[in-house]
Amino acid sequence: MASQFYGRALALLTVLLGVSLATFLMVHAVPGDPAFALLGDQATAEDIARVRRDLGLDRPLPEQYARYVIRAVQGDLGTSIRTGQPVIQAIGQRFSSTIYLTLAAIFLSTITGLAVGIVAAVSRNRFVEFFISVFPLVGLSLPTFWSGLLLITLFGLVLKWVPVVGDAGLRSLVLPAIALALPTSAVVARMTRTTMLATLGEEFVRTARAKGVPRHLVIYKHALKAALIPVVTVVSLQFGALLGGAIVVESVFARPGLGRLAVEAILARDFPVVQGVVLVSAVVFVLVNFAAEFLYSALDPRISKS
Amino acid sequence: MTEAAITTVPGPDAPRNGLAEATTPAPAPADKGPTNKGPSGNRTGRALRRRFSRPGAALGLGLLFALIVIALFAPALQRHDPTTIHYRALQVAPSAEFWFGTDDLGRSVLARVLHGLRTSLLIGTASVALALVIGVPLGLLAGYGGRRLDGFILRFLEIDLAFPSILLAIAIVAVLGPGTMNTVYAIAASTVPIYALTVRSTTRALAQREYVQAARALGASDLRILAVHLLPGVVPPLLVITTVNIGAAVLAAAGLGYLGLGAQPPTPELGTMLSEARAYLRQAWWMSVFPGLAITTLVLSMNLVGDALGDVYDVRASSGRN
Repeated sequence: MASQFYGRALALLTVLLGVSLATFLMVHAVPGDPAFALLGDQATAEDIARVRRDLGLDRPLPEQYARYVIRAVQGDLGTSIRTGQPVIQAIGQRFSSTIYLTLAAIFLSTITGLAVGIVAAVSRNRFVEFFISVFPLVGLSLPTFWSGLLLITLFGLVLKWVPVVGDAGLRSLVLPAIALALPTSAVVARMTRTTMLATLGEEFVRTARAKGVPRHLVIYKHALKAALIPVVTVVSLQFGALLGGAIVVESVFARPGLGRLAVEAILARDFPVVQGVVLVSAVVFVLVNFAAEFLYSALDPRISKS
Repeated sequence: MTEAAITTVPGPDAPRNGLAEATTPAPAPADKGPTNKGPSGNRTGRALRRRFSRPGAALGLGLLFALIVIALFAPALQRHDPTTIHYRALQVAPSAEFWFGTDDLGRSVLARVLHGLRTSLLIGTASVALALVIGVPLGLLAGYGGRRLDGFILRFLEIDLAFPSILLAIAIVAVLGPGTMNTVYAIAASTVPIYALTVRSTTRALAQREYVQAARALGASDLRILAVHLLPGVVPPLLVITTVNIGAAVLAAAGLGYLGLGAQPPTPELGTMLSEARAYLRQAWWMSVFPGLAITTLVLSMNLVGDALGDVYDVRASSGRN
């Protein structure tokens, strides 16, 4: 277990270095002088020379990259060109809003996905079966930005149950979370159904049944427990999609989160901010997957043995 | 993903399992489907016919075909131009003249939806094609090449996968600037690992087969083995992953459009139309409902077809979750 941990940690480190290299090169991939790209069209020659010196752009690339990584590890992601604010501070202000939305969507999609998936695996009712087979397909085909607009129209404008825009605490989290959770709940529902059907056919479940364990106990205690493992993996893999999806959903509901920060920064060509948001989200995503891998092996003893 | 969305069912988890297979020996070959089911003749053909006679699959195929025809002949199908501004018909409700109504600038929503479908299909197919052109050779090399090459390519793909797909797309648009072609590049870059990893795991399994070993013993060159013996075996799982991911690519492109980072005005784009409609949800429902329905129907038809293909080739069971 320990050696496996170190092996994976080493791989994690390589990926993090690669991620930082990719975000570092992002600014250098912009055609022309990065200093010019940073400052925009109105920059004077003096400004450009100053920025080049300040950012160390006059030094060789490997040295620049080393500095970038050392600073990033210390929490220094540069300053926003548009506002002059440290990037890490700008991200800090918006981070919680995005994380709450992502977590709420994970919670919602896991609950509904599991429920739908279990019913789908167990039910023998034709109507239920039809609904269940349609739900994941529609969930995966509906763009979050349209379902978001539909939710705003119905619950915000027609019924007036919830505030439709901004971030005013828990109540304004409901609609964006539903919109964001829908595709993921479809994925979870499919996964749950497949694994439940597979485990229900396995021998230990048959044995439990033969011993006279009541049906609902067989389903919820024996089969569901085994079916949960792949669901954990799917949910953790969906974390990245949700984090990315949150960017779009934030835009629909005008929530001040990371996504809106990134989009505003792109439109203003504020590169340090874009770079910072991309780096931070990738690092969070990689760490979540790393953690999930261990949760996965803790849930399934077979994995750590191999 | 689309991430998001971009990354739908087989999207994110198929490649991840491909990665997991790097450490586990003998991955289940993705094309084993037909052989598993028994020795009888043209099973795939029969399975294809059976699947597409099911209502869902037939509906998907029919819808997709209809939408492609509509998109191809969009200019001939209705009388308005998608960019013409009708000053005396601002936000007109659906009528005989404007079937889907007009938007805040007095442009025909029907014309814009039809041309928007065109944009979506173009970006969807172009980005998937580009991702295939890059991903398939990478996957073949990783699956057939030596350990070091494999390890190198895998690291590269892992780094690519570390970025949530829509974020990677956003980063690329930040560098290249918004636009139709840049949307294609952005989506292709974020989906290359999906194809590369699928091809890699299939190639690895196929390379162990007797007919490949026999070809090598007979002195066939590596290039010949890759092109003649391995590439065809890779096609069935790819076909499934591709159909499902065109839908995801269409969603991703529309998402970028919604954010203002996709195809730029005046190009009619469904995501952009929805973001324009956001301010008029109450006054002009038709501005958001029709573009939304168009994207959903397009992606749904692609998902239905992908699902049916997935059942035929049994891809999800073998190369996906185990």
